[in-house]
Amino acid sequence: MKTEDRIKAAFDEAESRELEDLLCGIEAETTAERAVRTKRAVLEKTGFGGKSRGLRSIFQGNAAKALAAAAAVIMLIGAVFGTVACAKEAKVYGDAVAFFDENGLVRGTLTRKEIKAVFLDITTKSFTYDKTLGVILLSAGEISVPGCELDPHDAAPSGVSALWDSYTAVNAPLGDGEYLISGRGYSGEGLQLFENGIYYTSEVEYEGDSSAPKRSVLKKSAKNKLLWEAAFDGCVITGFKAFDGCIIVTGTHGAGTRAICFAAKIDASGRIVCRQDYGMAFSSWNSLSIAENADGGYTVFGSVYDQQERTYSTGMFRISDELEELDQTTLPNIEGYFFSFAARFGSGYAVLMQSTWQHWEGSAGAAERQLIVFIDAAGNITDSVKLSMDETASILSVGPEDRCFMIRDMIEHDGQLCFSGYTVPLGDDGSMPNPNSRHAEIAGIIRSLYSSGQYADFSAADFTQLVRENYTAMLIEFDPLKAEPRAFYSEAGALGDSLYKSADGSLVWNAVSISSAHYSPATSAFSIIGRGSVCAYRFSGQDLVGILETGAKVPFLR
Amino acid sequence: MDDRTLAELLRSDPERGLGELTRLYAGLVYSVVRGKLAGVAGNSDIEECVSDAFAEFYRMLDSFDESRGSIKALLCVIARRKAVNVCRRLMREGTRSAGEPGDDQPADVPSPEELSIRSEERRALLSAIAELGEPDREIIVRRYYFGESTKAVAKRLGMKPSAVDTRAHRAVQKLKKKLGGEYED
Repeated sequence: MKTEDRIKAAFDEAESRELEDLLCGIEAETTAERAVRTKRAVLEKTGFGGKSRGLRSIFQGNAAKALAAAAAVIMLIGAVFGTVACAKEAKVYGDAVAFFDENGLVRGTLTRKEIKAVFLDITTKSFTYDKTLGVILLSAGEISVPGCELDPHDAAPSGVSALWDSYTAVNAPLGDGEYLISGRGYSGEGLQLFENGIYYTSEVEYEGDSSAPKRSVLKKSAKNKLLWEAAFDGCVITGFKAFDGCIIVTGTHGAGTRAICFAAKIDASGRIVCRQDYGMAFSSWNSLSIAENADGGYTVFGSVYDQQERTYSTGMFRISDELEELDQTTLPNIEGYFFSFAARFGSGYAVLMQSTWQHWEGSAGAAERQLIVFIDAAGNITDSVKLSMDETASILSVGPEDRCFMIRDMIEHDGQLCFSGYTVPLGDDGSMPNPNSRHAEIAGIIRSLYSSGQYADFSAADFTQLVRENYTAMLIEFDPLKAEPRAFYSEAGALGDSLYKSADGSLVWNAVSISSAHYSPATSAFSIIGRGSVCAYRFSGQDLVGILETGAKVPFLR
Repeated sequence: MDDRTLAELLRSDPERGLGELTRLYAGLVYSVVRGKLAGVAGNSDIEECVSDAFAEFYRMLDSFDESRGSIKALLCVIARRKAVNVCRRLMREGTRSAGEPGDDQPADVPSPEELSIRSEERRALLSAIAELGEPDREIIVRRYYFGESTKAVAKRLGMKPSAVDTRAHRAVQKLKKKLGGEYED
């Protein structure tokens, strides 16, 4: 039985002692007219009705029998019409429930009448019923859309209609074999989709309105079917990576400067094999990468913030296979650069550093936007290479001159570094979008929409095509000895995402092809939402050996 | 006026006592009855049920013991049970005064063991609702006991309707989690 039905049933059967605490402080009023009618009726029924008692005697005898017969006929007619009305109502209700289920709408605490009213309000496109907006907002739930905020007290039908279009753009029905990967705060980026549709996601749960985490959960799923979850009470998971046979998880518990860092190893069945706390290993574990060491064990890379110097450095934290702390190293601060990714390279590591925001926009060192720092197993810097040799061009100018490459992942492949990402247009002044700002990628689209006044004129299909033209997924190979990047593979209308090595040593590249995009000035503060389809490209050496439409759909948000 | 004084007034001056009783609790009893009969019966049936509840309370006044519960709670119990009976009667007759069919079906007669289990579960659930904290407790009572709309609850509590919906949804999930067992979504 549904929880709501149990609550109603409990209220139906409640005894007076059980209601005392429940009703404490809760009052209800009624209208003055109803109060008068109630009093009059109660007095009548209890024999204190006065003159009204005399009036009742008029209806005794035959007149009363005639009235009773008439009432019986009326009830019979009412029963017939009532039966027909019941069947019709049941069909509408059934259609409404099916509509809710098909569109992922939350019924929550809605009554039967309200469910039907929302259904009719949306399907007739009137959007005037006061509960429709609440249902859509509640159902959108964890797929939060930046700027998609309507005031429930002041939402015009056009706004609610636009919100519904946005909601369906993200929640369009899935085709056969398709499944949607989503979760709390998940934006669709950084997903490693393995063979057989296996992927991992993490979520943080909070108690009520508290900002302290109740627990974090790492989940393993296969095509949206949850296989297992591993929970960490009172913790926040800050990073995880799957290796052959295990997953390494990092995170924190506690708050602020007293936060304790931890790592845990989870085996293939979801069992937490071991866990270790590290005191305050890093002042913050941001931008984490986890690499497997050549001699066993792991190295965790992250940003380290020095509160006194107000600078960021890159930290390396080495742990054994059993997660025992081995050593910590903080790389020398490279002014103007911050840690982005790290990957195993040879017997050591390669660390990608990106310029801080104030160094963008054509300032001095325009070519020094991305730097690869090579580190040996002991944490010593052995070399560093700028990714672009062109002093005037944007980074990794391997594509058209008016586009730049946004890096999203990095891996060693065939003795070289392989970068996954996508190209987007440069700004009108030739400036490169801030790599930390996803929104900057669509600035050109928004500008052209408003300058042409066409923001309301695009059909869904045309707008999707416009957004697809903004993105080209690219796989780039970088030979550190030659310091030359080379475009390896590209896919129009897509965003390059994660890279991993499969069991047979081939390189798998996940790219997200934009399948729907929606924009509405009524509901969004210059944001675009939609969905993408995940495609897996498999490379053996330099050769493309397979392309797999995985069936996985992920949210697209900018 | 406290319960003892009201009970004494009802005994000594019934007409005045009933006037006071209905003045104090007509709104509450109406809400409790409407929470069950809205969509099943029309206003006339609802008001009929309300006045029946007051009349029944008056008839059992001699056995009222304030140590066992307040007049407020007892009136609500009587009112809800009357409303349940009216609902069942209307369902059997297939008569609808207004609105649409309700969700209830006549229940099969439970065995003593089933009754005992149901009582335990009911006590646990109601206790859990009482422990929800504010404003969740009041939201659940008003939504499921009084049958008030989100808008009405929001207005009463000075909250946004969307916030009321969200809190109600979360409160139900909390109850579901707390009580476990075979609670469904």
